[in-house]
Amino acid sequence: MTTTTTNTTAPDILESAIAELLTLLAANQRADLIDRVNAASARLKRPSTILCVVGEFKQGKSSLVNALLGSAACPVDDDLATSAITLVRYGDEPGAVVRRTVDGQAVAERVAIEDLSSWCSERGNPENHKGVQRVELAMPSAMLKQGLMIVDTPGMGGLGAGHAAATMAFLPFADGLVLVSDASAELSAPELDFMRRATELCPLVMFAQTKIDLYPAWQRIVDINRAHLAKLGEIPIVAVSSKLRLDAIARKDRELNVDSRFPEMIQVVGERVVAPAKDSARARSANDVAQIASMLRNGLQQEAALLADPTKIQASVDELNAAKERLDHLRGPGAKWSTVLADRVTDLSAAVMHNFRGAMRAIMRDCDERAEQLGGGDQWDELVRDLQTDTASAVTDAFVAIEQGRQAIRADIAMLLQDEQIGSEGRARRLGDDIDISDFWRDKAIDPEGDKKGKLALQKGLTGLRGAQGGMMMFGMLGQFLPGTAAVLFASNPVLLGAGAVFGGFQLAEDRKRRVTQRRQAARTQIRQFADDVQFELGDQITSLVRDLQRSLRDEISGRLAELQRTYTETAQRAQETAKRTQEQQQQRSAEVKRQLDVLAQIERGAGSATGS
Amino acid sequence: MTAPNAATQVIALVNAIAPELRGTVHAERIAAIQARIDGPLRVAIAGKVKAGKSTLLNALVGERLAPTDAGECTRIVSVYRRGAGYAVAARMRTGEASTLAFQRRDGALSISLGDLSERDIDRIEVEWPATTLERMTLIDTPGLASINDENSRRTRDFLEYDHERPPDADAVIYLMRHLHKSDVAFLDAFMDRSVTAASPVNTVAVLSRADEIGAGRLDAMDSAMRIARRYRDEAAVRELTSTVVPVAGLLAETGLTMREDEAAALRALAGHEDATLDRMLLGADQLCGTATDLITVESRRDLLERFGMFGIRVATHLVRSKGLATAAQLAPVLVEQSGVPRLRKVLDEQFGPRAKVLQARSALVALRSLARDLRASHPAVADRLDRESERIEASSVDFARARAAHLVASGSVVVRDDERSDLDRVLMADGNGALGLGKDASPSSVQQAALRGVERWRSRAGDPLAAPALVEVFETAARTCESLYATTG
Repeated sequence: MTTTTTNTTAPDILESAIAELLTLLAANQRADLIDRVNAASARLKRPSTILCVVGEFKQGKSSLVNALLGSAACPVDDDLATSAITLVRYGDEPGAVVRRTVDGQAVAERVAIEDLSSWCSERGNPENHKGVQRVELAMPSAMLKQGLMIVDTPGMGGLGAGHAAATMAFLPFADGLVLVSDASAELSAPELDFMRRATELCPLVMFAQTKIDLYPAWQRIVDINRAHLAKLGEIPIVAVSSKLRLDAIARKDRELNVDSRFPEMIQVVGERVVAPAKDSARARSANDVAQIASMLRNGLQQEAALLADPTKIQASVDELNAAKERLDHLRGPGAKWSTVLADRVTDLSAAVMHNFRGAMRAIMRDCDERAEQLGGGDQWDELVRDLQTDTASAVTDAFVAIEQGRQAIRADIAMLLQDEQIGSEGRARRLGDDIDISDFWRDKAIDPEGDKKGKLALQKGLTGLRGAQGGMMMFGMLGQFLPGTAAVLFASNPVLLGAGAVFGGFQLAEDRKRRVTQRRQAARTQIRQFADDVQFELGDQITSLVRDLQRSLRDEISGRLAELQRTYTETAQRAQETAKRTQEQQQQRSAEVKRQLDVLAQIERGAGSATGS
Repeated sequence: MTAPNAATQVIALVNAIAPELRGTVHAERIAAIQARIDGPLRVAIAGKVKAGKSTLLNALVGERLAPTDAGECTRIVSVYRRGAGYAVAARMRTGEASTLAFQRRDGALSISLGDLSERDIDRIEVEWPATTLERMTLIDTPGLASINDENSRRTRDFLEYDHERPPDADAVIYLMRHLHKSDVAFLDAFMDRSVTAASPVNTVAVLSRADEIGAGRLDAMDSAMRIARRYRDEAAVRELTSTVVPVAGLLAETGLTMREDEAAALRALAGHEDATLDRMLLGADQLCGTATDLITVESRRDLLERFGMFGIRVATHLVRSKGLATAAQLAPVLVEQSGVPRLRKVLDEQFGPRAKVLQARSALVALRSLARDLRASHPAVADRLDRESERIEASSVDFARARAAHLVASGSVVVRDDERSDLDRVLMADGNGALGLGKDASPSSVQQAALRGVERWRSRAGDPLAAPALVEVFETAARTCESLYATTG
């Protein structure tokens, strides 16, 4: 592990900068800013890293998750397969929550971990009758404590592309992906195809060959697969035995644990998935620290200037009060930026929905045309697969458009506020002169591999979305919605004539022709029904996502304005206090301000070195 | 039934036509059709890549004829048929055949293609004097959905049923490793587009590598049995195959070909102390990696290859707790556990009574195709073939029954639950069995039962609201009873 040498020192600088900043903020009684710094500190200690576990069904995905955690949390059975998406994250106490839809209402229920199989397996919950959207597990595992969240996905069947489409649509939001396939056979064409597409969407894609305890020839299978995967680029490969790992834990047998090869896998996950995610979380934390420090410094510098030249105090106080009032207005409902925000969000919502409907219409048109040509059952399967994949991609595009719109709106409002005139008439100054407002909202590069070529996700500008709530939501939605509908589409395959027509001989040719026409009609009806359902369900979700976006942007900007206003208010108060102070007290205060400014300079250096790395 | 059945009629037609084509380019084709219908039932083993098709074939034959390997290895369709002696030939795409060199190594057949290119070979034909091949010719196919798409195509080409070409197989054993909704869809699509007129009537599904489903634990086969039973009860599966049987192919293959030195190695392994053996049986690497003087690493590797983890766990358990020691003692128990005897029984029950009908149907398709090719050169023969085959097809109650049985079993027609078992019997059982009577039932009771059946099914067929296919099913049932009435007494 060569990366650790650089990583061990850097967070220390940032952590001590955060500690000093907290002391300073406490001294200045800025509880509002302390919350933000605490949030930055928490993110630094536990970034949200998402590792997605995918594979065909019955390859040992849930067992792999259990082995990674070191406890049998996910239900594993010879027969039943996992049918719901399961999120596993850190919790001091083990616990499970099932999120599902009952009569159109989203509900979350706490359930016992032992009962999970009745919620997230095909036997306990066939065809997802219980409407489970996802299951959330909390486990007190050291591995998760670093901020890792593991997503166990339902298996992708050879033709049941619903889950594959949902997983693919989710990938831009994940930090890492593990494809799981057991050592009984080399990777199949669909698995390799999935890997090829996944490498374009996810920063790290790795491959885990499972069940090596059962297959003596696993080493050869690994070699064959290595040759297959080498064509797709540099993909880490591990061969593991979940059974041996759990045996090793039960027997407290260190040697057996090494044999299970999980230590190796955990190292790869740590270095290739968790570490980069940590780096980007550190960059964001450092950025927050730098912003807060700069705001604090600004106030202190003004105070220092007044202490040096007390004659300017009254003028300054007037000016600060005027600025405060202006900010008061800005925070109010009549402020220009809030009108702009409302207008822009409405425009964004309309544009996204328009494009989504347009994309769906294009998909429908294409499918209708293809339904006209439908022949055999395999063509229907292919059509359903394409229908799902295209739909999932249209939904992803809508989510991406929302995220991009959000960034654009944010940047525009920052510019708008930057040009705000604050202060008294005649001595008016731009808000941006005091503080670089746009910096509040400027995210530092979040993806450490930002320059990597050929990454679709980056071209789409999705980097900011990684680990985003929207991604989780979309995955749950697609995961629940697409395969459910897909099951209906496959089960009622309208073009499948069955061998019945062939069995009897040739006199049935006419009958066959008639039935083909009838069934094409049925196929078109089903496709239209599917599209209607998708538009209805997802249209609703997209609208509410945009509404949330407006609310969160408004809260964020008001919050920042409140912080700024408080800085002005307190600076004005101190200026007035300064006027009443004795010479000696002024000198003392002057020394204190200088000391604090020195500390701040150090903090800003620390944060700067962390962002710069 | 003493009236000429479909198979007899087809054979008569073939025999009548054959002399007329003697000396022409078509002589070989008619001879092939003759051989097809005289020979055993042709059963293709199909399934996804690495489903264990070759291993199952070996287990059914009882010899290691088909090559098995951890990588994907069956690339050419291979036909294994009973022969007087040992012979291996490659049938080229051009139609000619060339003999191939082969040898047996450790009991396994190894075929050398010489300087022939895989791509030019249509199929490999192996003749072997195995009694197990007497009743059915087995056909090994490359896996579907393989990375090497050429292989998938070969299988489909082979099994593809079109009206131009006679089907190469009369029945299908479909292997799947673990059935899932998507596998049902796969089987659906597979049957629809490729199998030789596959239908639940001539398809048996096998849950293969069943020991691995239960991670090779001692109780793995019980677990697999439960799973198979569940699938059998699912409507979607019932429409595609008559039954689902779990099989641990490797265990059967090894059990049937087990040697005494292997039994000795197992005894040596079982002779370890509890703790050591326990550790060795944890996994493949532990078995080979544990230091011991009782058994060499080399023979441990051999055991793994031949028995797998499940086989070794079962065998050592048998040695230690049941006191079994020799190959002669161990092998039968292992074979029994593998589920292959059960599969054999199912195949006998499922394909046995219908074998000749299935073969006759294949032969008829071949004759029609031949007639098309004869149109220009021998118009009289072509006419006769067309006329006769149409007559046989229309008049034979056997074909109608097979078709009706398919319609019912596949769910193409919906029958009332209380009628289903009676319909199944009348359409599928042999002779008096169709009426629910024993072989030695008195002629008068057979006639009475047949009359009742005719009335019952005729009146159902007269239902003006019934779908055409359902009417056809009832009429076929009535015809079956009629022919039983006519041939009794």
